[in-house]
Amino acid sequence: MPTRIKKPRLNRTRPIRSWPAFLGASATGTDNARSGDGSGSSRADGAMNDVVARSVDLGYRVIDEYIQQGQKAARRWAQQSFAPEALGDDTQELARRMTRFATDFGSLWFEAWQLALGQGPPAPGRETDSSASLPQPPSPPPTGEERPPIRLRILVSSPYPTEVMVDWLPHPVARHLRVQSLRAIDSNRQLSDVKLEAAKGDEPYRLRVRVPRGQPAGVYNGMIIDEDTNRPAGTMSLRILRK
Amino acid sequence: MSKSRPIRVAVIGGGCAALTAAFELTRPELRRRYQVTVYQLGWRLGGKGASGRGPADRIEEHGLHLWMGFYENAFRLMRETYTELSRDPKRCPISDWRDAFAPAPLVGVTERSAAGEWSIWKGILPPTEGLPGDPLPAGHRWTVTDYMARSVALVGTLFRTIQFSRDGVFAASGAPAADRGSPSSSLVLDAIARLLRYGELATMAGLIQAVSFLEVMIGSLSQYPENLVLRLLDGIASNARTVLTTRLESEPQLQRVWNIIDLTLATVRGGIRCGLLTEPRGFDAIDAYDSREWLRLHGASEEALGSGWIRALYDFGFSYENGDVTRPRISAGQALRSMLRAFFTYRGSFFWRMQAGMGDIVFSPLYEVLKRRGVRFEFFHRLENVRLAPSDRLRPGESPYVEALHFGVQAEIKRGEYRPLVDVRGLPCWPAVPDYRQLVDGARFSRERWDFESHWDSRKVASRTVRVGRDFDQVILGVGLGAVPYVCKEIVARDPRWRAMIDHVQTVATQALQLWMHADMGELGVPGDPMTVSGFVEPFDTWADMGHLIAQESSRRTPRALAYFCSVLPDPDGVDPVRVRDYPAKASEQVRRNAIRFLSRDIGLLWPRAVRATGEFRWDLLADPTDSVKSRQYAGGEARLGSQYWRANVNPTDRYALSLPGSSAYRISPLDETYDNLTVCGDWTDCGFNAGCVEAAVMSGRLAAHAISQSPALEDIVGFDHP
Repeated sequence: MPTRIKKPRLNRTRPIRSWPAFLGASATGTDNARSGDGSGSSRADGAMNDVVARSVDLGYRVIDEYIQQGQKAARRWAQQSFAPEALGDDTQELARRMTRFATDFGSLWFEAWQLALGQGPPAPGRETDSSASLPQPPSPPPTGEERPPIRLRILVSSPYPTEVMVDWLPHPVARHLRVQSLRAIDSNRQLSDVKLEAAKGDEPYRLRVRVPRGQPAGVYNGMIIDEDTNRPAGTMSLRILRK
Repeated sequence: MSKSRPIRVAVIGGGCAALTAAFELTRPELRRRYQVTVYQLGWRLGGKGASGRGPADRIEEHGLHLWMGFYENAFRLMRETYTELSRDPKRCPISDWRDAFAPAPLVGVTERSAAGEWSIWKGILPPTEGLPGDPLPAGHRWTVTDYMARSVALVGTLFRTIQFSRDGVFAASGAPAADRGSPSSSLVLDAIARLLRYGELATMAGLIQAVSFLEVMIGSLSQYPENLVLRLLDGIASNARTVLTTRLESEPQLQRVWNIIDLTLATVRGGIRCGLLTEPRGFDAIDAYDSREWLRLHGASEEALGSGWIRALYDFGFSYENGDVTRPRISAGQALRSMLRAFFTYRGSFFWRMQAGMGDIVFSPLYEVLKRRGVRFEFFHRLENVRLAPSDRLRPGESPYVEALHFGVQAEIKRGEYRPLVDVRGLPCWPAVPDYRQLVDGARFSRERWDFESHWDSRKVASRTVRVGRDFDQVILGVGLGAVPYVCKEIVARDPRWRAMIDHVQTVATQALQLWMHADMGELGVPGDPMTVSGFVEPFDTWADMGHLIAQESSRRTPRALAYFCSVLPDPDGVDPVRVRDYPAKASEQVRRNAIRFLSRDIGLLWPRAVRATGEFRWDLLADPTDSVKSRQYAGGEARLGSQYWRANVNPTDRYALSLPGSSAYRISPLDETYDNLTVCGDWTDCGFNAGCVEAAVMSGRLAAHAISQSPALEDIVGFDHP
């Protein structure tokens, strides 16, 4: 009988179901992140955990706050106590709280985003708890220690009472900043006449906002972008009070 | 392997998997290294995808076939086939793959209200970049992490959908308030509505923020404590449920969106809890669970689990054990793999419709290309046994191997090789019956009604044995799983793995119904673009509007609508159907009765104007293929159903392979090395995507070719290396 022709031996006969498992932890950076050598990576872990813990907690508070406000309004409706001024107070209060929570949350979000991108812990030398696994009370976002703060002059032209708030990320490097159109939280409305003019010499940046007549009251948010890196540098919130 | 002469490969079966293997082994770049012979039962190729042209060139399918936008391997095969075929567009109406497949983005699921009313929830899945079969970016890899991040992003999108849809909802609910009261009360009510809207929208904004953050966490999960991620997930789910509870009751549309959110959150939660993001087995790690059971374990609500989406998941995969619709079961791992591939990796369109019969679109071009490449086709060859070399004859260290293949020759060809195709207005097609003129004694076969495709009709004119070394070197077994116990008796008896596969990887019979009608879908009460709907009532839970095929047929009086239905067909209780005499005829009669019951009782729920005021189906809507308005052949109420086409897919080789929980481990891979000259292929094999579909079949065919020739590379089999 002639020699039979057999199938070749194969290098592998199974699918690779998990690339991280197949390539090993080192290729994915997990080893580095978990090296536990007390160097920057473990600090990054700690910073990350801390940010996550605070963000989760703050996330609950944001959501709970919104729900409470909605339920409060629903109760008021059910009780037929819907005097316009009461509704107005609710709205104002809700807007105020939302602005605060949204910007706090946004800061933490950006902070986590930077860490997730592997840009390291936000504040070298800042104490963190790498074992933190439960949400901690929220704390103010860290501020820069070595870089001078960005100086900003805000010029608002508005026919209505208006509040403006700017929150910078922990360490924005002021180079070429741009502010996006502001968008209302509760609708698709925009406020587009917002400009951030570059600093000249020792002059601060100039943030010019013009609120047109007829612009509905409410909270408008936008992001400040570093044009050189296309990364967020901060957030801006503007609140137009009731006409 | 030897390099001195071509390696002879016997391919058994002519379905997608077998023909893909033949296609890969005869690629020009392999320089005719493999000499392929395809052995096929009866007169046509296609397996479960075979179709035939019946009276008036009507397309008669095994069932409803739609291609999905993630069928990368299958579309690549088709694109290469059409390119190589290079048909002349002036002579053939379907000359390019884009003529052969058209996007079908409109899908629907049926929902039943608490009051028992059925409605169709239609959705257009938007076109995505690229086309199926386009090359993927170099180094492309699928990971569970990526899928989970996409799932979370979907939740965010759905929250935004709810948010943006509020204006419309409130406009609707606000209108009565303005009508019913004084201007002052109306103003107050408007103000309240605005405030409520504000509060709810703000909540949604908070949820969206939370979901956005969750996306970041999922993307870098190794750096986050899992309990935090799970807490955030739970927080999002419970808060969203709290916010939406009151509205869900009054807004069915919102309930449907919420069901998707709920199922997606349960998926993400389950993925994290089960450690799927780092699990070496990928989704196979949860193969033992039923999909619904697994989602329930991870917090999906009963409403979501009973929704049309989940029913459609089971219906679309015929996922009912023994065809019993009270026993829905599908592996959670494979279901998740299928759903994630379907929704997140489709290209161009979610669904693609073939523009003629599946035989005409897929198997004619493949047949023509393979013929050109020198593949030999032996039609009318029924495999009777795969004979192994006796164990005592194996040398030390020698692997078991196939020694011979025994065939029953169903018919002799008068001259040369059987020419199987017919021309339908320039398109090469498969006929619904053999061309008896080419067969020795063909008139007798026709007269005596030889059924060449029936397992129950074993008549033959001769026997034939092909032997290893003389007639073949390698065997690719590409028959349907249901046929394996009958054609591989020796292997099943000797090999416990094959026995276990037969025991655990079950199959199910299916039924199909095609209706040609004299009224278009708008006149039947279903206006709009053609769609595919699943999750409907048994006995036919899935329906597709296939009106686009009418132009390919030749009825004298052109029908105005064409509808395909399909579903599982229950097996007889406690009896092996193979042992039931005349079972095909009995099953066909069962399908006919099912169709009458379905049209008489249920179709009005789907097509309200297809029934009279009395609720009776308008039988006169059914179009007779043979003639005209005044045709009397099928006149008279339900007898007119005789002018339509239905089918019971009860042949073992036609049975659909299920992905039952825990069954994946029992499948045998085309890469299995137990037998050194035998390779399996089919959508029932362990091919990386263990579900009954064209894509799995093509993948398995490519793997079978790799097992023999090491081509294509495993890395080029899209989706093989996948969680």
